[in-house]
Amino acid sequence: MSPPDRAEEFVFLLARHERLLGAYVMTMVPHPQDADDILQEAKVVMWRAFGKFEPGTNFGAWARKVAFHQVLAFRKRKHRDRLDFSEDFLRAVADEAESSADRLEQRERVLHECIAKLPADHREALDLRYREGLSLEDMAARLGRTVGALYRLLSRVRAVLHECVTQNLNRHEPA
Amino acid sequence: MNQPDPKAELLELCDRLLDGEFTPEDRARLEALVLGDADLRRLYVETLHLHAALRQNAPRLSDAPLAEIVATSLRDVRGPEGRGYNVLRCPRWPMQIAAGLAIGLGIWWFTPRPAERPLATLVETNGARWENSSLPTSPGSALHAGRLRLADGVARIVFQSGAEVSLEGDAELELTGPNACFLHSGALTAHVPEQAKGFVVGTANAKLIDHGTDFGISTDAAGRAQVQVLQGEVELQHGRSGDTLRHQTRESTAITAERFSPTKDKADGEPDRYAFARTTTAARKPMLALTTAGGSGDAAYVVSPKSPIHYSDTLLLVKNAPTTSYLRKALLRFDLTPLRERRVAEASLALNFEATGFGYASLTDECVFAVYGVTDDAQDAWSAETLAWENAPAFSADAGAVDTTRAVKLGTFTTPRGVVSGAFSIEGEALADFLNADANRRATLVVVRETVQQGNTTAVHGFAGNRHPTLAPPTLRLTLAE
Repeated sequence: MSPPDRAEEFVFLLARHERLLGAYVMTMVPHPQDADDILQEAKVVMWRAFGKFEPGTNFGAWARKVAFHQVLAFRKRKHRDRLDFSEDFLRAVADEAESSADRLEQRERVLHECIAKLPADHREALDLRYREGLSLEDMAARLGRTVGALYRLLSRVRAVLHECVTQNLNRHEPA
Repeated sequence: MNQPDPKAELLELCDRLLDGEFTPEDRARLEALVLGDADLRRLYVETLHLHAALRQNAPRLSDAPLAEIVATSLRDVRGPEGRGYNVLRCPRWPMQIAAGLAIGLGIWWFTPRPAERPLATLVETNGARWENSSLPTSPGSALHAGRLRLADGVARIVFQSGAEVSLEGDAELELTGPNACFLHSGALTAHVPEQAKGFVVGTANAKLIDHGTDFGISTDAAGRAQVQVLQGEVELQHGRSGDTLRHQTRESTAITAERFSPTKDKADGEPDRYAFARTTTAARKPMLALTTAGGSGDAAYVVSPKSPIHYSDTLLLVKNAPTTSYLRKALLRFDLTPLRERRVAEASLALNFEATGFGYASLTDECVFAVYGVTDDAQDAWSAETLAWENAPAFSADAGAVDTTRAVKLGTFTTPRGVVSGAFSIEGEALADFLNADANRRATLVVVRETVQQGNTTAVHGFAGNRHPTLAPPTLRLTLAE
């Protein structure tokens, strides 16, 4: 196969899997900027190693394996911080994410229905936190509320969304 | 909520992780919950996945008027988050995918991290001899994040912030930010002008934060370090104990894994850069060095069945390239009888790497190696002659791991990108504990490469075994308890 075909194939597969892969990394590294850096490095490694990827096999699983190693490499490079998750923990989380990959993809698909059902002020809070990336302090200043109130609000909104997604999935395909 | 409900507790911990103050105690508790229960593991992954999905779906979160969406997407492109690969995140917007891929791919094929600005400049060098560094080493070079390994001489580096560092070889420094670095080993002095206050030097055991000073810091690879304030004030934060300490002119402190030990310099004494090491020598604790060549010791490596036969009778080969089945692990056995009844207080294992001639070092990334101790004493009886891939102690088909029901992980070390030679070591309580717990006085260690590198062009790593003509065999250096 000539190189341009491989590049095209890579771009195609990556475009389909990139968001899932990003979410996979964030289950282990919740910090957005760190997760972005790891994802970026993983993409470089994936492209370099793409010659070893067998067309027709599970690209998502292959990509997650590469990304997992980048998570470990990042952890080693960053050196010990008492907040760093242990390797055992990362492996357990990675295994869980791997075996739940399809279900997580479905969960993401129904998420927007649940977001649409949220009251406007909850959507606004999510918007400030996740799209604008504001800290809780900045959100508090912007919305004229206390940090504590926003902390509880975000906690509740995530719980509501989690429950809503679970119920919608059960409705779509009864167990 | 008085009833201890693990699910509620897990969700609270997740909230703190994502929005609040997450402490080391929280981390330990979260790990225990997630590792201990499959349902909680699933809940954790779903919660974090939701967090990630919210971030990735951010542009759709609010039903904002069109004008605002246009305004924000422009702002996003210009903002710090607007790197090419972030744009890639919205596959439902076909135009953006096309643009993102064009920019993204075009750039990351050549320079992996396009948006990154140089962190520092290498200003001048004096008699400098460099070992393989991941950064340019000619004077005037712009330095991005990465490692410098200075074998000899002095190199002066000016950070973007204005902080000036003179690195003294033999040393390894990693640049981590425009006003921050990590000293893996060796010594540096720093001059930090007013505008660069807050300059950070990390070491394995403690972090130094500058408050406008001249200071010197030296550390060994295990993180034992010495800090001297030449003028001004620095703050030290200890990693394990959480202690903080402020130091002013002429004050100095030794840092170990456990604690700070402040010592005032004598009025006109020269700074003792290696005071941390001398305290142990001064106490004259008995030391013992054991090699795999002594007594019933042995050293060998095993090769997976489908691997090509690359043979070395002087080096122990280690490789982990699973797709091509090029798998090799090294096995070491130490005869512990010279210890007699004495207990090990501190232990280190040193391995001397040398280029094997198989594969290209230049194509080899940073590699992490792990050392395991075989706890199943029944497996200590191997011999180099009969050892094979499947009958190796604590056998696992994974080249980067061992059977952890029969072995414990004792530590890891990292070889920088492109580096296949030099001495590397592990040390710590896990190794000492393992040696003390060994009942039959023969200790088997397994060395594996955790880093997977695909393909047959990357280097096969190797370190000296028992028959190397010049390099020392694998060596345990032990400090004995009273």
